[in-house]
Amino acid sequence: MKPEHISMRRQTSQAIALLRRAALPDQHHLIWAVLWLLLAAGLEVLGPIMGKALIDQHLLPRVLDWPRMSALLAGMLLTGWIASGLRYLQLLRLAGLAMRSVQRLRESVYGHVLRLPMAFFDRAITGQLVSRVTNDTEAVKTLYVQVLFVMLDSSIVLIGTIIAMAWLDWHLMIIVVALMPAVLLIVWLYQRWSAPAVTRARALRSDINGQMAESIGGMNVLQANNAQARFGARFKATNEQHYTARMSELRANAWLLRPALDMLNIVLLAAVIFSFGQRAMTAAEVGILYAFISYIARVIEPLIQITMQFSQLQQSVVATARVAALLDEPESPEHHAGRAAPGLAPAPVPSRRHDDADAPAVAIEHLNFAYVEGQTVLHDLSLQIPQGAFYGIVGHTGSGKSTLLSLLLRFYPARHGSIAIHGVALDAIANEQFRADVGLVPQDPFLLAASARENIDMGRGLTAAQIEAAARAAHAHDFICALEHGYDTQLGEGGSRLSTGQKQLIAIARALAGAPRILLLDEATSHIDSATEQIVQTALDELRGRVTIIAIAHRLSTIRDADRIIVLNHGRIAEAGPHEQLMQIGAGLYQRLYLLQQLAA
Amino acid sequence: MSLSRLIGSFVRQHSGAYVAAGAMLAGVAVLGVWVPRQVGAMIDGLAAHRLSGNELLLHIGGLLLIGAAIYFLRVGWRQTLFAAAYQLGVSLRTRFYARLSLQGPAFYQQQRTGDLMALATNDIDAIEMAAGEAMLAGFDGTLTLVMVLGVMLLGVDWRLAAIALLPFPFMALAFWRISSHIHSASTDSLQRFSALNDHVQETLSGVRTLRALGLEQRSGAQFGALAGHAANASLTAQRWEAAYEPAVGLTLTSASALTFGLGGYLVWQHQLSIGQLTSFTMYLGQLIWPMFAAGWVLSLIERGRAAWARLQPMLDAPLAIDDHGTLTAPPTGALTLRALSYAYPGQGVPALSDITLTLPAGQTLGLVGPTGCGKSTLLRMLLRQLTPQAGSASWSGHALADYTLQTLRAAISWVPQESFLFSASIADNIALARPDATRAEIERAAHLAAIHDDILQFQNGYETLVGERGITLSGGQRQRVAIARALLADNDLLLLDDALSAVDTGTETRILQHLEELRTQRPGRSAIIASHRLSAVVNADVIVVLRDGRISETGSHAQLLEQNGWYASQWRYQQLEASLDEA
Repeated sequence: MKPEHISMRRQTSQAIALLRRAALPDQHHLIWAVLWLLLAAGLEVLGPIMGKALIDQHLLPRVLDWPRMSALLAGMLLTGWIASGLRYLQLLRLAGLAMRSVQRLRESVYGHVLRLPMAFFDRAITGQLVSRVTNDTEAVKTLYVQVLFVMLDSSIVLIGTIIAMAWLDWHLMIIVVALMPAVLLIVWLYQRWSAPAVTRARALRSDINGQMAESIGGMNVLQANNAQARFGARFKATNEQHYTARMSELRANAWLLRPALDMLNIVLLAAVIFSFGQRAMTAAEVGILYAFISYIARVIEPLIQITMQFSQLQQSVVATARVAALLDEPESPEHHAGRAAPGLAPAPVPSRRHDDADAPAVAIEHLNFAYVEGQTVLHDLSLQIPQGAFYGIVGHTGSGKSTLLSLLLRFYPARHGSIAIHGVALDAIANEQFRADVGLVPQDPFLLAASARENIDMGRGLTAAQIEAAARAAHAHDFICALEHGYDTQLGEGGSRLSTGQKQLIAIARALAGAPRILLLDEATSHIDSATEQIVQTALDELRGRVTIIAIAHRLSTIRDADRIIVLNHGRIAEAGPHEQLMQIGAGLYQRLYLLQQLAA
Repeated sequence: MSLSRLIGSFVRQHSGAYVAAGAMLAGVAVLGVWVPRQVGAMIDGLAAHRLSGNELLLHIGGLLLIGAAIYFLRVGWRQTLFAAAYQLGVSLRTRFYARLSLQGPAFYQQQRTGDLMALATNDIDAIEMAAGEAMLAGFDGTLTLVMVLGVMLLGVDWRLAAIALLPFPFMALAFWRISSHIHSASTDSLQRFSALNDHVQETLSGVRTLRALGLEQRSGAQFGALAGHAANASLTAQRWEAAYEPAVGLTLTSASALTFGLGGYLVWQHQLSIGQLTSFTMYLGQLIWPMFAAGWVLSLIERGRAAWARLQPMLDAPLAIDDHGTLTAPPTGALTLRALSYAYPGQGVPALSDITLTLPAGQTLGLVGPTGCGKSTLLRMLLRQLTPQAGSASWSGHALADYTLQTLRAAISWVPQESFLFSASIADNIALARPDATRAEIERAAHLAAIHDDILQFQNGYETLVGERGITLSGGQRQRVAIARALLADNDLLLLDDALSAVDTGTETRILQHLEELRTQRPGRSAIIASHRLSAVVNADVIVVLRDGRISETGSHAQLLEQNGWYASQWRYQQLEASLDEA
């Protein structure tokens, strides 16, 4: 279900829970900020009180007391300055809090996304996903900085001012407070009036963006169908609807927000002056009027500030709820495999002691698999690969060999049938253990813009000797040494300084450097020249017996020398055996595949 | 045209609205200045016991009346001014869209979709803000400043005004410095954010490799570092934004204290009343807004100018396809290409060279060859998406460029390699070229494209939404919807650009049979079928083999097999490949 359909109330509670969790380590900052802001508000309301004292006790009764008058003036200056300074520091504190919270939130969202099951990525639209991780968390930042600070600060100022008013003259304060329900009424009316328009405007806005993106992407199709003018008219119509929605939002805003609150300001002034005029006036009380008039502005301004945050608040809540929904997506199970349930006993250190030393390296039993219900890709596949063997898996496009590899790599869970590695069920192996056990050489070598050493090490902290040994085993040592700085040569963005074949040798070295017990090759020789392919063949031959090799190959020459070749067809094992034996099968699949490649070459 | 000229011409177009808003703003400023004076006078009256009973009520009534007047004026100018600015946004956006719909592939190749999107949204918003908020704040701020200063200097006491205003230049200076810091800090923060975005985009697109190689932690650490940079940059910007607070606070407090110091002295000397002192304090508060407005207006205008500088070149970019043709009669005769050559900009090797061929009306041409041999380029040439650099293409004896684009496009149905579905129902997607088509016609086209049964499987049948917000179709289904779209358009020339690549062979044969039947029903319909798979062109009247942009073999299927060239060897290969599938 799309987050837009979830009720606002649920979104809000979801958003608040998320925000609290992200801000938890900074909780003490929030408490301090509230305390300091309270102090600032207290200092600030002192100003008009001192002004009142100056008027009532000195100016009007004409009492000249230089030290006291100077002290009052200095007090006005200092309290104001200190209050400003405090407010500034708290704003910084909250901005820091916001930044750290957003950072925590982002890291957890990103980490979470990387652990989502592969099936999630099959249907996710990458652009939207990127937007969740970056844009939506950015909106959360606004929530912390602007909304939180303004709401907090404004409420504190409002309460402080009302208390000061009560202290000066509770009678007049009652008048001011009595008009407060009017503010609530205004805000309520505004919400009622504008909410549908705001929602409509936002929906239309995303519609405009959608139409724009789609039209740009499919413009040549639109043009070829003479539909561009029609789509242009539709775009214009949507823009005009958006305009209408914004105008009704604007009307609500104009009639009810700032102008209305400013009007309330004047009504308050009039009410206070009127009430003041009703009582027997002593000269000593004029100062109170001065102070009250100063305060009225301080009551209205925070209210305006608070109401102005509403639309921002709404947007941020929607964004936060989207992030929360993403965080609720269940992670793929392998990240919890081999560990105790969270919160229980500490996770056992992954070890190999559960392994059965005699168990086959890979045992697949009655494996059935379908990406989409009803469209089975693998049918009742059973396969035993002994430890130290070299197995080749071949097949035509769509035969299921890539799917089999995806399952071996745990991209998708095997629901029907089982896969075990060294006697342990695949989904019971801890992630670290799995990585250490299984090395992969992908079809397209993925190289970092780093040195040759770092590309083999991949942050595992291997020794120079280990790295060199791996490079030798992959026959990459010689060409690496021939580079200008040897192992420390920077390979450029995506390894741009190397040939495709050299990149693949580095990828093999990388896989071997982890001393894996199983080496998976995913069409690793598809894009390399035949000279390099021969090097790879030699390297694989040398590894024979020490490491279990499973090579999924498009190029049959790579697996010619394999102990056993498995030929997949339409998700079933069609033929199996060493090269010579398979070539003997008259009109056999393998034989025809082999012929096909000879033809293409 | 500069931004000020753009806004200027827009203001002239909507001069009524702008003049009305200006007048209302002026009214608010005048009345707004009157309020503190009135309050001051009332306080003095009360203090001196001059004001009581009906007279007080009269004064208060006056105050409320002014308040109401200000309210209505404010409501009025907001609606007038923003309505005009929103209009500017609508008109720019529609103009931009209209311009985009005239541009050809040559233009889109140079632009990134993300950039064009940003222009249509963020940049036009920024221009709208410059025409709305900035105009408003600039006008209002200046007016308020002049009025308040005038009243303070002339209406209350010039000595008091001079002293009270002393700190304000410091505030202006602080604002100026803060805003320039914010400018550079937010630029930096935008760049950091964009780097973060890139990283996420890159890693999520390659999530398979990342996971297979166990790079999650490394990538997570990188992300953490980038997010940290972004956070720090953003924090710097926020820190400067926060500095507005003390700049205002310190200035205002100082001004108040100065006012009280000198004002108290003047009151003592009987040169000033308490009421005047109060109204003076209220005026000080009114000065904050113009100061803020100055900084804000400058930054809005800066943003608007930057946005306009990005948008304008797009609006003025020369059209990649010209539409100077005049012929509107649909072409019916033979399609002839003579010595046609084309090279993509910036590429030395031509994509097509010296292509000469004729397709008589009613015939089918097969176009085959290895990937990158120029098949798509040739088809796009016929659609006039690309303009040949040498040679000529004509239809019914007239050059393609002599027809209006509308006529030419109405004569051709094109199914591109990558089929594109719009966010709409399947029925609407099929009826793209003929929005008036009946449901029966749509279903017939879907049937011919062998997609009808698939569509019925979907929950809402033909009304099922596809695209961004709908269900995702498989590659083969998408291709067949695109074919149905072309067949419904039922134009004289059908171009299939490897449009059956994701469809299985059985379905391919079925669709080709349907096409064949259509052709016998309506002689005169021609087709060009470009395909990677030779089985799609076996029955074509003529098959042309393209290699490296040149015609290397021509003939019927049987003739080409006899020639024993690329076609023949490829045919044997594909036959063998197909036999693997049957096993």
